[in-house]
Amino acid sequence: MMKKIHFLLMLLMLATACDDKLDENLAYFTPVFTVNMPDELQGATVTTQQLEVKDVSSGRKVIYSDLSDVSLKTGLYDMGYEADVVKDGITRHVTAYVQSVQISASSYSVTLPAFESLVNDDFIIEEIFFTGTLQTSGNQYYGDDYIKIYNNTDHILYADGLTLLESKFTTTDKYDYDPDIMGEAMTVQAIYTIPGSGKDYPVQPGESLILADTGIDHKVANPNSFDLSAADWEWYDVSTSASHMDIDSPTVPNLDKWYCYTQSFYVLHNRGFRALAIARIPVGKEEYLANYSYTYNYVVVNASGTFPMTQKAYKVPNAWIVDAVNCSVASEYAWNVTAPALDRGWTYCGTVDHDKSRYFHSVRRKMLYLKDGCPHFKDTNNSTEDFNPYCIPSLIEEQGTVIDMDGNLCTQRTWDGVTPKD
Amino acid sequence: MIALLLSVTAARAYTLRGSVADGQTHEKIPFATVTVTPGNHVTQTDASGNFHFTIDGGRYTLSVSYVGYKPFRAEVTITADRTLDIVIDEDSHVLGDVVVTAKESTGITSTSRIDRDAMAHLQPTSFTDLMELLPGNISHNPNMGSVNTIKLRETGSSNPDYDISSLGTLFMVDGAPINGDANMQGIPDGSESARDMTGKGVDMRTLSTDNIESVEVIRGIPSAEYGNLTSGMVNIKRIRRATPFTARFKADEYSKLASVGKGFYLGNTGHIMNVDAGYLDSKIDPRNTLENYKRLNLSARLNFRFDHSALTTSWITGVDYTGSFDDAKEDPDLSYRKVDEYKSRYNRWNFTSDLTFSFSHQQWLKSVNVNTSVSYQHDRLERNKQVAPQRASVAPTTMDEGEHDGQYLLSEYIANYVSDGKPLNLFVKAKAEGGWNINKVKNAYKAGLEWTLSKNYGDGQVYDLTRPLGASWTTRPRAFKDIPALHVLSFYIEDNITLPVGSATLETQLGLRSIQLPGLGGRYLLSNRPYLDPRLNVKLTLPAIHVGDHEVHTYLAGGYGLTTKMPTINHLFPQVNYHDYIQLNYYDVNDPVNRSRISLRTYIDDVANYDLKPARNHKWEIRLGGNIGRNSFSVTYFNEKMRSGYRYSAFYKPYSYRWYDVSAIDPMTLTAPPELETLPYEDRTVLGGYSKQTNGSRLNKEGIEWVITTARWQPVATALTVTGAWFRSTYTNSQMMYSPVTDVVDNVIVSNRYVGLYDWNDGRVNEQLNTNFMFDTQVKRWGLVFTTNVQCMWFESTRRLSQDGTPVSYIDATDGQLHPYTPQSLADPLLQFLTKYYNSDVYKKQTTPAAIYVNLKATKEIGKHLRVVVFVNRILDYLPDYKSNGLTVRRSSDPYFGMELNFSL
Repeated sequence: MMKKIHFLLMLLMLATACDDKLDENLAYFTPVFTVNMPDELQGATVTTQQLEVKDVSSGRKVIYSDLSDVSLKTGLYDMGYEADVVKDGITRHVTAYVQSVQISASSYSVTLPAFESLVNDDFIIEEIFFTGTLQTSGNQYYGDDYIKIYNNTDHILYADGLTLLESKFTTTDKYDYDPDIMGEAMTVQAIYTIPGSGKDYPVQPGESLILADTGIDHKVANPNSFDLSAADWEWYDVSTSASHMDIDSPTVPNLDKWYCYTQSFYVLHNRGFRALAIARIPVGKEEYLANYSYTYNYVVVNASGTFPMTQKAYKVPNAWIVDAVNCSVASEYAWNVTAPALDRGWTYCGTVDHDKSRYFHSVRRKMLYLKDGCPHFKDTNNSTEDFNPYCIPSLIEEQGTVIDMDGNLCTQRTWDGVTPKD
Repeated sequence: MIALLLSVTAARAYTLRGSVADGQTHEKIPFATVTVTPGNHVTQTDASGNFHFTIDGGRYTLSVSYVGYKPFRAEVTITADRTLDIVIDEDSHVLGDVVVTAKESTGITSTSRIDRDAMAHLQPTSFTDLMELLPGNISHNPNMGSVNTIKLRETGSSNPDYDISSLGTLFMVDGAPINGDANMQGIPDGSESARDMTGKGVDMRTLSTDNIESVEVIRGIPSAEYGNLTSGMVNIKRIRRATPFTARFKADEYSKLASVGKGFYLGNTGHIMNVDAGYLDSKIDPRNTLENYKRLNLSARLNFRFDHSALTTSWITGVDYTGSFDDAKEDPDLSYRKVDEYKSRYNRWNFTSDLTFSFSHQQWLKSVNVNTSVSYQHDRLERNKQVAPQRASVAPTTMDEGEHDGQYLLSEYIANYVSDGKPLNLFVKAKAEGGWNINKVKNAYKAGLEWTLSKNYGDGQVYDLTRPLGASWTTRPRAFKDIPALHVLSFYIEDNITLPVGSATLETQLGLRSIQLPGLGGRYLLSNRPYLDPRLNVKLTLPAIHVGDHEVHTYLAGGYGLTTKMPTINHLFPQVNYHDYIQLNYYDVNDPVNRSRISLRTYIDDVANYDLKPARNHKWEIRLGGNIGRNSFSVTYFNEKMRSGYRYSAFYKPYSYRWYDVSAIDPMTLTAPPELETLPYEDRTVLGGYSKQTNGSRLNKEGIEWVITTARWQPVATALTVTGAWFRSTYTNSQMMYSPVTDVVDNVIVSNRYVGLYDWNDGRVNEQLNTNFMFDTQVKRWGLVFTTNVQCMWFESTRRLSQDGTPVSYIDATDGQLHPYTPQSLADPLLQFLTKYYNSDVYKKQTTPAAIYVNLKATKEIGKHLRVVVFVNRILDYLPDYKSNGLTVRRSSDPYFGMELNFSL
């Protein structure tokens, strides 16, 4: 039966084509769209949708809210699709993107592979390199950790005021923190902010920023490391004492250190037991530091006894948080230290505590598709789904530096640690 | 004339020979002691039980003694060569009753006495193992990977702030102290601190027990004869008698130990020589062959005794060597670090001489004694480690104050660190004793003086400043030989009166000791200032009463005393403190090696505390003891208070340095390191911390100790000894404390600006209650001693003392002055961080409920020459789960077992 209908349609099409044989380029076609929903959203009802069609030759863009309204001439098109869908009473968001689709008399069906995605109009964390590298002797090396921030939107974003946060709590030790504020805010121990008046640091769509620990060429101190002297920002910890010295790179500007729990140099947890986040804090620094502290109680119980604790930290309301990524290791994972609304999963480098294979690896966000030569990354607020764990870091790929203690050099080039660039 | 005398003497010498045998079995007895007096001729029977003397003719008393036999005594007249075959009979009362635990002394102050037999049955690896015999202690596995320090009458704290516990316990070996006042072996960053003996007194690991005859642990108030202590004292007497050749071989999970020894008479006189040697090879973890502890000890001791009618001269000397070797190494196959080694060598040579003149004709001066001891140590600690600087670290390279350029540490290197210590200790003690008796009143007095010198001749810390053991070190090497010597001078007098009070007897010991440090520079408060320790012990022995068939003896004793421990060399002459402030930290990204520059401002502070006082302990105790027939008991309540224990306390003061703005440097135009003169700068002042030795530790000890020993119940040949104690120990500070915070707010390091001074108690109160039930079964017929020791720790508890996290005042970098911390301070953006938060639940008492262990030990004689001893500690345990804040805590323990062979030839 189906075959028959297709056959009839073909006949009909052919007839139309024959009619306009003289000026085929002016003929309009209505493509047949197939939206492939992700597995977990099979059977979902589409409530609203929109398709942006870009004519590759003219660059002209048209937005349709009804797929049946689409009418295209023969040509090459890039198509971006977004939709709100309802499954089990919950509204979710999907996106799809296809590039250089040929529309002609013989080719007018379009498959749109849809991915669940968030409506996020700000930066995302693309990559976190927290494990560090190893010296030639095998000693740990600190200082080359970095975080990559990405503009996953279709417009310019300004990095001014974007704030890097590290969670106070670890994903490996679960305590009943009292009062429990995780539903409203993230408890943090490090707050470093990109300075700027608001429009000083524009970032184009598809571009990224590197926030590095120390923006120097680390190959000087550790031949196994790589060059961070071209990083965009560094967290420099002013130290007066020779016993814990940080280096202030002359080529990389410093983040504004609003607060940090340590007066020694700050490094990311190198086994990855914390959550990292970026936020936009809408209040001034003084006001924030004065008003957003959080005092809490919890009880540590171990073999030697029960230890009730009281501590004080800063909190950042969830509404201000732009993106959050929980990290952990499978053998030690206990819980997420951010609200599920910010991150429902977690990612990792290494599977057990003190996993010695973790060095030289980062967590990298999965690419969904390339759009205008730039990757579009997956963002569903579920780090388990959104990230490729245990990847070769992007900077090591770009620089072709060492990927293990034996000094092997990196030869692969990928978009997201998995998808090859070629 | 001389020839004539000689010939006359020769003509009158006869041979007295004979044998000693068991009265029942008629077996010959070797090593029985045979004495002929006057003349004090002493010998031992040989392996066949024979003896012989060459003596002048005359009337003599011949006596024979042997352990487990009734003493034999007979008058013999020698007019010609004689042969005597002597039979001796077993003493059915004493027989087999070896004391296998510590005995509670019935002396004037509370003392535990541990004899050879108890040590042989316990099978100690080191002196540490004897501690389980003291009231309040239970057995522990040997911990040979760290310094073993003594703790008397307390629950113990591992915090170095309370090292005075062990530092203040005096160890005397044959009348001479083991002096650790010049020990400074360690690593400045505190790594390997568990193996660091500095300021901790005596490391009991280094003491072998194999040549010890008896140990007295004075827990109460020691006689005024003993000083430079706060807690108590351990009085070790070594074997000084003829013994067969003995050999001991021990093996357990952690160690192998071998020792040999022999004591013999030199000729037929009272001169005795003892020689022994021992070797221990132990592992900290049996699975790890790379970390171990070894000990070698050699000893030769001579006892000379010369008798004259009015004067007996005894000269006791000894030469000893102890080597103690700690090794730890990382397995390069398991560790990332390719080089990581720790080696510590302790070599101690010791010579002691104890000369005593005893006068038998006069009462007022009974004896004069001079005890001298010289000990020299050569200690060497070596640490080789691969160090990996992070990014780049800085090594300060100057030994002087002022501005200088530091050196970047840009890549990995191997650091070699050596600490070379050569402590020399001299000890001289002279004393005289006398007394008088009038009717039933006995009076004995003694007086003496004591001088000790401690000096370290070592090269001290030796390392390359540009290759420090830690890439962040700001300390500098120092030679120990540049540190002055420490002299301690003491005098004492003591009087002991025993007099009848009705039908009771009252014994009073009243003494006074003075202690001072002569030759200490005038800047020290302690300089030539004597401290007086009055000490009083009283014992009232009540008349015996009869209860049924039993005679009941009771006594009541008590004492009060002040004890003083002078500071050690390291306390008085600490290393100066170096502060290195980074003025410029320019790291050139283009040519880091040639164009970077780091400028430091170095400050050197003398951190000696010239106001340091000695640590002083106030002790008192009361004791009730006695015996009912052959059952004995003793109960002691004690109370000790000290608020001047040594600890390092933090202090802060402002330091100024010039901060250069690196952003003015253009890395693209630079061809050489930047010039400081051309850079914009800002003069800044920050607070810097340093630590100083103070009398800031408070240590209060309180408790009840008891020892009950029953008569042997013959049907099962078993006696029961119940020892136990309740201790309450308080460890805290006795002075206000500075405590910095680590927060960095808005690019400002809070502790650079403000540091709070807190009036709080940072310590805790610990309590414990234990009882050990030792069933000791001795079956002479089988040559068997079997003990079952049920060790019950009924509870252990700890409670943190309440801590007020609000500072009373704070020091401000801008003026270096203290300012009161007010409610307004809490609103200040930076000062608010000085308030620390503590959960009030933290101050609740945490109690660990009962833990019960059963230890078994057996000694079996096999034939005449061999004895086998086996032990299993914690073969059974009762460790019930318990709830702590709603959580169930499970406990477990592992047995510790071993065995040994003792040969006696």
